[in-house]
This record gives sequence, C-alpha cells and structure tokens, in this order.
Amino acid sequence: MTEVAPKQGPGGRLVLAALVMLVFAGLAWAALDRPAAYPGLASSVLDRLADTGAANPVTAVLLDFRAYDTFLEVGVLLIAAIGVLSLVGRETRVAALPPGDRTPVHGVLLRVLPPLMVVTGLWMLWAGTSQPGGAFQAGAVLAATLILLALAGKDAPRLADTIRLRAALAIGFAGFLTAALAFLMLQGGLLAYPAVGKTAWIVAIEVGICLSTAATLALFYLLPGSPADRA
Amino acid sequence: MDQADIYILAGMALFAIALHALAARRHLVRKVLAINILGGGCFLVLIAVARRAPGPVADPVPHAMVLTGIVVAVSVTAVALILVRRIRSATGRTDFPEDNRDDRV
Amino acid sequence: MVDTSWAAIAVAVPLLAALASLWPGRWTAVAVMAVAVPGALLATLGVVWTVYEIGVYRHPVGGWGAPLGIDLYVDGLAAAFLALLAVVAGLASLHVLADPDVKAMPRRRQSLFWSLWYWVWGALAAMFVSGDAFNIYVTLELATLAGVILVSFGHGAVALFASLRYLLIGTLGALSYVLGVALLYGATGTLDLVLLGERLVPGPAVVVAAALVTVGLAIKAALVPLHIWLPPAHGSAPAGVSAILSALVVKAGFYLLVRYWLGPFVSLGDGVATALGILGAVGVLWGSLNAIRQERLKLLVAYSTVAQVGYLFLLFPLAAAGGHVMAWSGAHLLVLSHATAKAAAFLAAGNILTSQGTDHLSEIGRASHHHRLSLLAFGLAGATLMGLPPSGGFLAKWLMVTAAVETGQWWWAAVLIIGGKLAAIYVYRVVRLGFVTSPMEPPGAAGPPRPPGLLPVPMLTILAALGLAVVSVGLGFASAPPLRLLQIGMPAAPGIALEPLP
Repeated sequence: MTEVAPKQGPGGRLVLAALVMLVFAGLAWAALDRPAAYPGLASSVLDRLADTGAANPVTAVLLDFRAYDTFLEVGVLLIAAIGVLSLVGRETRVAALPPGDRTPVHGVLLRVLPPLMVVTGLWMLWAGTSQPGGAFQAGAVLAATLILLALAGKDAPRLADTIRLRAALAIGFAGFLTAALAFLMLQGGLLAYPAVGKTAWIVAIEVGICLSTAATLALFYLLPGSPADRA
Repeated sequence: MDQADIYILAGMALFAIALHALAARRHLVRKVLAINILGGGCFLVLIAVARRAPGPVADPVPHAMVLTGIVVAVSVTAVALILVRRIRSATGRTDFPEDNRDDRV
Repeated sequence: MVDTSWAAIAVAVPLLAALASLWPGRWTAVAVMAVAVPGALLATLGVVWTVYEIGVYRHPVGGWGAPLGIDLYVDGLAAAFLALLAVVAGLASLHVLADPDVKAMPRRRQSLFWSLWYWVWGALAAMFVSGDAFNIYVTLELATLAGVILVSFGHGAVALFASLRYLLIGTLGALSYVLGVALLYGATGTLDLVLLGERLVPGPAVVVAAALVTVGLAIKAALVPLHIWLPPAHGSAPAGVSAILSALVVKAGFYLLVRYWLGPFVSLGDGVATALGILGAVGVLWGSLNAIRQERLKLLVAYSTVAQVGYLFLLFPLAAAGGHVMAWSGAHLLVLSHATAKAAAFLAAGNILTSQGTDHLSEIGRASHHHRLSLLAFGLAGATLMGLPPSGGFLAKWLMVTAAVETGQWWWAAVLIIGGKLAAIYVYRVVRLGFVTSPMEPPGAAGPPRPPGLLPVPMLTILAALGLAVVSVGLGFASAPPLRLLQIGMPAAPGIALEPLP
C-alpha cells in the first residue's frame, strides 16, 4: 500500500494536528473525571443470574438481559453479508496456494489442525453459557477452519450465491426472530423466554448464530478473494 | 491514577490518533484502518468503565457492549473493504477524487 | 385490548420482510410487499391507537425492564415517526416495485436490494421506539450499513465513492456517539434514556459525553458543517433509496437529537440550543444557495435536504426560550410534511432521470410534456418546501414563526422566511420547465405519446410520487390529529408550565 501524498500543505497539517490535540485534551478531561459513581449493573446482573438461562454473566447479558441488542447485531452481520454478495459477482473461486509452496509440514498440519479447530469451536459454543466463549467466538474459529482449508487448496469450497448459502447466512437471525415472535405470542413480551427450558432455547439460538457467523466470516474472506478480481 | 485511568486515557488517545488518520490519510485502506482503531479506542474506554464500577467484579454490561461493537466493526470493515476493491477495479483509484465536484456523472 | 406489543410488531414486520426477500424472484418481491406494507401500516395504527388510549408506555423486551433490560419506549413523537415511516416507505416501496432500474437488475441482485430496503425500514422502526442509549447505537449502525449498500446500487463509480464516504463518515458518527454513551454509562450506571435524565449531574465527563453524542447524531442528521457526505450519496443512489434516505434516515438523526436535548440533556444549558439553532440557520442558507446553483435535479433536491434539516434545528433555541409548545408542534409537523414532500421530489426526479437518462435541468425542458405528471408531483412537493398555504409546510412554519415572535427572537423568524423565499427560487427553476414549450413538442398539438429516445414511465411510479406529494400538502388541511398525537408525552420545558395549543 503506497501512501498518496497528503493533500494539505504544512499549514493545513498543523491546523489538523492542533484540532486533534484539542479533541484529545477534552476527552482526557472527561476521562479523568470520576463523577459520584452510580454503581454499574454488575450487582443486579449477579442477583438475577439464576433467573437467566446462562451461568456466565456476560453471556447472560448478551443472550438474556440485553438479548435485543444481540438480536439486532446478528442483523448487522447479515446486512454485511448481503452487502458483500451484492458487491461481488455471482461466483468466484478462492486462490489456493501455488503447488510449489506445499511442504510435508503443510500436509500434516492440514490433517491435524482442522479437526482440532472444529472441536475447539464446538467446545467454545458449548462452554459459552458458563465460561468465556460463545456463539460468535465459536463461529469465528469455524470460519478460520474453512479459510485455512480454502487457502491450502484442500477441498476449497466453491462459494456461490445460492439459496443454500443464503440460508446459512440468515439462519442465525431467522432463528432469533422466530423465537422472539413466538415468545411475543406466548409470553406477551418480545424475546421473553419461557421459564421452562430457557437454557435449551438459548443454546438453540446460539447454534444458529454460530453457523451464520461462521458462514458470514468465511464469506467475507473467501468470496471477494477471487483471482479474477485480484488481477 | 489507577489501572482503569490508564486504560481509559489510552482509549481516548487511540480515538484521537485515529481521528487524525481518518482526516489526514488519503489511501482508502488507511481510512478503513483508522475507523477500526477509532472503534478500538471506544472499546478500551468501555472496558475501563466496566472496571471502574464499584463492586467485587467488573460490570458485565459494558463487556457485552464491546462484544456487540466488535461484531458491528467486523461488518462495517467487510463492507468498506469490498467497496474499496470495487472502487479500485472500476477507476484504478485508491483515494477519493481531488475535485469534490459532485455534479459529474 | 390495549396491548404494548404493537411496538414490537411494528419492528418485527419489516424484519420478517427483509428475511423473506432473500428468496429471489419477482413474485417474492410482490408477495412480500403485499403482506409487509399493509402489515406495517396495521402495526403502526396499533401503536398510534395504544398511545391515544393509554398515553406514553413501555414494552420491556425480555420481560426484565430497565435498567437491567432494554425497554421499548413509545410516546406521541415515536408513534408519529412510525406513522411517517410506514406511509413514506410504503408508498416508496410501490415506486421501487415498478422502477425500471430495479427491474433491470438480475433476479438475485434484486432480492438483495429488497432485503436491504426492508432492513432500513426495520432499523428505523427499531430506532424510533428504542428507549435505550446503546440499543440506539445498534439501530444507527443497522440503518447506516443497509443505507450505504443501497447507495452502492446507483450507477457508476460516483455511487461507489459516495457509498464509501457515507460509510466512513457515518461510522465515525456512530463511534463518536458510542464513546459518549460509554461515558454516560460510567457517570450514571444506566443506559435507559429516562433514568439517564434523572441521574445526570453536569460535570466534565457528562459535558464531553453530551458533545460526543451530539456530534455523532449531527453527522447522521447532516447538520452543516457535517453534511458533506449527503449530496453525493443522495444524488447518486437509486430514486427510491434517495427518497427514504432523505425523508427518513436523515430525520432520524434529528429525532434522536430531540430525544436527547429535550430529554436527559435538557439541564446542560441553553448555549448548546443556540449553537444548534445557528448551525441550523447556516444550513438553511448554505443548502438553499447550493440548491439554486445545481444543474442536476437530484442534486438540487439533495442540497434542499441540507436546507430543510436546518429549519428543524431552530426547535432547540425556540424551545429553550419558552416557545415550547408552538416550536415542538411546528418543528415536528415540518418533519412530517418535509419528509413526504422530499420523498415525492426524489421519486419525481427519479422518474425523469430513468425516462430520459439524464436529470440535467436543461435537458428536462426538452420533453416537459412527457414529464408533466412528475413535474406536477414535484410542484406540489415544492409548495410544501416553500411553505405555501395551505400546505403542511405552511402551517408548520407559521407555528415556528409564531414561536419566534412570541419569544422575542425575530431573527429565527427571518431565517424561516428567507429560507422559504430561496426555496421558491429553486422550486421555480424546476416547475417552470413544465411551461416551457419545447421544440420536440409543438404547441397546441396533443403531442406524440412519447418523444423519441425517451423510455416510458410506469404509472405506478408516478402515482407513488403524486401520492406522497398529496400527503405533504394534505397535512395542512388535516393537521389536528398529528398535532394531538405529537403532544402526547411531550417533554416539559424547564420551569415553564405546559399549555395546550390554541
């Protein structure tokens, strides 16, 4: 990446630098102010943790207390996937490593790593309800597996804008929306999980999010990476 | 001055540095990077805010906000990068055109 | 049955449509629209009705309730914006359905376009009923990202540049906003807007947080000088997209500023209110003068948006000085009438551009007979933009001018009046084309059905533009219900007793 020359002259640069320093001064002034602190929500979260379907406080916030944010956030990811599909042509293939780069190490790693990664990802998904981890992290590891395979030229998936791909991208949000509306009908509240089987609902939603995250992140990397576009 | 203060100041500094880069750098990829660092600064501030809350444990709500923010940042970056690529393949440019006349078709 | 669920349904309907649209095919688009538009209108009616019945209400998402959970917060303002959204986006959907530019896209690309379309809709609905500072950030990002990608569907590299610029600046705004929210949470331990207002104590952290939130939202609202991203983006996007971006997404930034500055931030001082008013006044003049200079119709309309947003910001100084009820009613009636007028103007401009391949004013005059219905829609919308009686724009400006005079701030009234005169100039530049006799169409003759080289304009696209224009004028006749709605849950001005509108 060669840097294009800055467009402003030395005067303009000084003004900009001064402005940014001014902004920083204001931010630092605010940062060092510690207003008579209201307690955060930590104690309320811990008090009600038993009523949620999760044992980890962050997961409880993400998928129960503030599940609505997470629901919309899964939507952001879906929009980005739609954007990538619309900005790239219909079908592309991933550039694999040229054959000359393949070494024995490469071969062993490719046999050993992917299964390990898949297991790690699934474990993170499962552990997410009680320990750090969760659907997004698990999805990221699964996506990394797909990308590794594709880069190594092994079973490089041919990504195409098919219904199946779209289903994979959308299932996380679709599952979440279905649950949200079902609870609205049954419980009278958007995303108000029924008291019975709460954990099961949360895990089911997480599986969907994990699949969609994996598909979306892999798409981000693999779909635009076509040799034709790279030329 | 404790640990949380250092984190929050570092977050603010990152925000300011990224602001400078966003304005001064012309290469589009650098601008996208600047946006990411801007987000990183915000997340650092949120982590520090979580630590500052009185109580035995860090406040999980800002942590959840950071996770949400990261997913949003990834999405924005993906769309921004593909736009940069499309711009380069359509015009050969890697920066915004100099003349800001928007009446050209 | 009075049910708070209507607010949730109003958010869910467009999101369901966004998912269903991913199945490619023309019939999917038609079917989804046939369900989604009436569904959204029905849900909005439910929201409006419940607000009339029970006043301001909350819907605790997940059953937790603020501050631990997120609440949907519905008052008259939220209901009015939801209604505006349903009407504008609904009619604009009809336009998109018949738009030849959209129909010319490959099937799969079309379905992606529709999905993004409903995403913008759903994001705005979620934003209007959100009562939570961080949740608002997520909805802002949803609307921006979907809007950015829709802009990139426009023609050529200009649209790509505009799209990326919009994304970078929009994300900067969102991050500035979220940094402010982080500081607010540190100071108050809550994200609920009402609780935030109760706990806010002015201090360095709160002042800087308010500044960050305001700058972030002002970028979204395209307040001068943070407007530079708007004209290229709105000028190069497909017509329907320009219409909802200009009519709704920009107004959403203003909506949130009202939520904050006539909500939790109201105690932070009148200085900011004056500053916002001055920037708004500069916006009125700067936007209008630029609109007058433009040679392309869509850019003219885009710069006019910069001017129209400027008027709205006069609400802040007027409310701070005590002209509370008048200014509140006037500014929001202005939002309603301008949003419908602006959408109509962009759709009309889009019809002309699609048919003729160019929207240069000099070219339009050559085939004005062919465009007469689109020019009529533009003229009706223009009457609202100028503030001609009896349009909605007239009544709204009359309320604001009254507020300015009553509080002894005649200079704001002057801005409103000068802005109206400038609008008359740029609207006239377009409308006069309808009376120009062009060499292609000899006078007196009924004229050929269509001058050579021009594509036909589908009737549905013209009806959508006309429909929106008629709504914008009609708001002047039927202003009582929206004004009554807007006053439900209106924030009280500090130290001033509320009095009902005469």
